[in-house]
Amino acid sequence: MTDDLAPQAPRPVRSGRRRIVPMLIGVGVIVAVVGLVANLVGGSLFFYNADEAVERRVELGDERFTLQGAPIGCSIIEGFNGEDPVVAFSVTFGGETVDIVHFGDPAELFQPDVPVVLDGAWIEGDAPVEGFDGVADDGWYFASDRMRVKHDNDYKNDEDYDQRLAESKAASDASAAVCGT
Amino acid sequence: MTQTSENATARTGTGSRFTFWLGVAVIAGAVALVVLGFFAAPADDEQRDAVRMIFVHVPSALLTYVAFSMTAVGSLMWIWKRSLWWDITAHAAAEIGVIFCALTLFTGSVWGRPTWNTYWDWGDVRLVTTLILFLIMIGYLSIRASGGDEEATSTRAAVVGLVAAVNLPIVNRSVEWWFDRTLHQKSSLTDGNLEDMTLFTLVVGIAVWAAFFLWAMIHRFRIAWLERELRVGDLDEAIIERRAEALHDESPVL
Amino acid sequence: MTHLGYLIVGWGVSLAAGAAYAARLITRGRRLAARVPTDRRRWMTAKDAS
Repeated sequence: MTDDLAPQAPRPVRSGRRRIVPMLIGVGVIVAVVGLVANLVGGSLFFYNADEAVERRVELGDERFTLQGAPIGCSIIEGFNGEDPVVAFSVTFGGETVDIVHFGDPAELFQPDVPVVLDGAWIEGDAPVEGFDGVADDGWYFASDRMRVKHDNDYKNDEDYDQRLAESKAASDASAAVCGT
Repeated sequence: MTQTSENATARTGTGSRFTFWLGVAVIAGAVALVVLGFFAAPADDEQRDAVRMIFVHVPSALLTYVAFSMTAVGSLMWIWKRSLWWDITAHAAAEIGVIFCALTLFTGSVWGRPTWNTYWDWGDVRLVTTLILFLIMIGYLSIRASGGDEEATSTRAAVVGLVAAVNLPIVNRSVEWWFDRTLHQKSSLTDGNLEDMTLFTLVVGIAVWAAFFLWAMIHRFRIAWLERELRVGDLDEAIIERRAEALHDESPVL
Repeated sequence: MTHLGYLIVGWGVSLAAGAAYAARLITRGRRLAARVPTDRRRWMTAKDAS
């Protein structure tokens, strides 16, 4: 029991204005959650792997979609389309290969064998990048204008760099065979 | 109450000897984590030094799950048993969980820019379900802050806490269920390959965050307890005052 | 060190947020504790209160 009998300040009564702020936040949250769920259901980031994109090429037509695949090291060529940077390369997934022309700078971590997720559309014809033959070379290329990197959860120390360089060279030699060089 | 004991009371606050030493351990652990994270753990050969974000991002995400799971259990116990202890625990865990969730979203976004080449993707299932979880829990806290009848407020909040819990496994498993709808890699801890010092530093990070969570839970629980004691105290005073007024009214008029 | 700017922002905000929240809990607790009698704070021992 306390011996402090002095009257304490009464607890402030929550005013109508103070109550309305949490209610407005609550309503805002409901609206935002509904909007986000609708956005996810209606147009989530959905990418076709390279093999699926090739299989659905006719169905997709000139529609924009997102494609995923791992770049083949020996195929990568960087250049310019007028004054704008462009990078051409081939990606592979599920045993299928797709030639890519990406208009813009490549992603910072863009590198061979690390999958990329690209927004763009199929275009029939040869890739408009000088010196790029493309591993697929099937008369189609995927014109991309947005590149993201989908790295995996395999974290490797850069301390074993020399050993991995040797492994990388072996892989590069193997992919050179794919590129036909 | 004398002046001396009043000062002692104010100084002690919601702390105790245990929370004091736990707080010291958290600070020491955070310093050790910075040293380990920036100087002892190696860079990644793909992500280079950006990988060091894992030591704050993954612990934040893990403790988000822990905190919101506690909110769910507390909510259930409130609805089932009307347990005040669990009600306060649910509220405390929700507030701390919202901070961890905000940090998960923020550090993930900052980590995403150099690695994925984007801060955010509105169609990414992992990112958006995590944001939805965060918003639901903001709603939970806004219900708690709305005042009114305490039991009704606790029950409304408990329902929201349980709805949020439904989203927890969706967030966690989204990288497995919708691997073709997210840029996010699969779990680094359960499915990943973490080497030597990277794994050790991550474990230290989780331990430091967990210790901080425990410290914050104890303090936040006691704050909620004090707030309730104050309300109850105010109510007692009001009843005493009302009784005094009633006695005064019944006294004979001379 | 690569990506130092991102790391400083990510780590800095995380540690600062934790510290700010901890400081807020401590001050809020002290303010409230001053208004609640010792015997209604269950976690306190007699020694703490003296």
